[in-house]
Amino acid sequence: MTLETAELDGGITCVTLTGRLDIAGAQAIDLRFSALASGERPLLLVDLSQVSFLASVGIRTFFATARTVKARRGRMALLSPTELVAKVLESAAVDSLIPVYQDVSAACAALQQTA
Amino acid sequence: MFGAERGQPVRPGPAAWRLRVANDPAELPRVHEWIDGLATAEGLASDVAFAADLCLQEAVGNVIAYAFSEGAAHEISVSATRSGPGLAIEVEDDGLPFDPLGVAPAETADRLEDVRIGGLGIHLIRRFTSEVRYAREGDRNRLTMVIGPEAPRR
Repeated sequence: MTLETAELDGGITCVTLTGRLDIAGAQAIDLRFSALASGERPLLLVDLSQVSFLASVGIRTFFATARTVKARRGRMALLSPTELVAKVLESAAVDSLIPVYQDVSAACAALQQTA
Repeated sequence: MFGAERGQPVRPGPAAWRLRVANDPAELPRVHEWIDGLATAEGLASDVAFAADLCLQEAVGNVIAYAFSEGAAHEISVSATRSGPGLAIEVEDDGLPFDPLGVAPAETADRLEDVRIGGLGIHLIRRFTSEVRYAREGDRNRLTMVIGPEAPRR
């Protein structure tokens, strides 16, 4: 699994994950992912459109990152999971704690809310 | 019947695919390659293939993590057989008695702080199979997972 970042308007960091988020994939991204969450008020948009697989270890990574982001008073959102990856997210009720969007504009608007 | 329609010798039922892996997390990509190849050869629907891939990563991952205590090398046997449009999968090992279904189901949390990760793998297996059962036979654990034509289960 690879991780790439891009800065969007409004201080949002778009994190694009590519590949399988299995045990090996989670290990490959853990350090960088937690570093990204550890800034001041991080606004993280995690693009999942290139993620072909998601296992429980990946969900653990998302929850751990989201906790760090919340502790840093930031926000995190997941973007454009494929249908099957979305079913894994839904099965683990990830979407009830970390918002999931299929539209980047809606995701960015939500991340930039000051409320 | 399956075989006769192709003009090939009739078998007494679908043949099983088999794989053996060591109790080492580095084997998990090999499990994925195996189910990937099997799914292509059997023409499995993409949601069935995905569910099988996920359930195997979780089940074999659990066995590697929890079924052995002494650090010795062990072998884990995996087999898969067509079950209509779906797949019946067995994961067997000779480790400690370990019933993954005995783990309390993960509860959905209302707050990030309350999320408990224990049992999440088994929770996903339950959601993505139409049937899952565990048996201890002699000195072996056997986990049977049936991936139905519609995955995940609601």
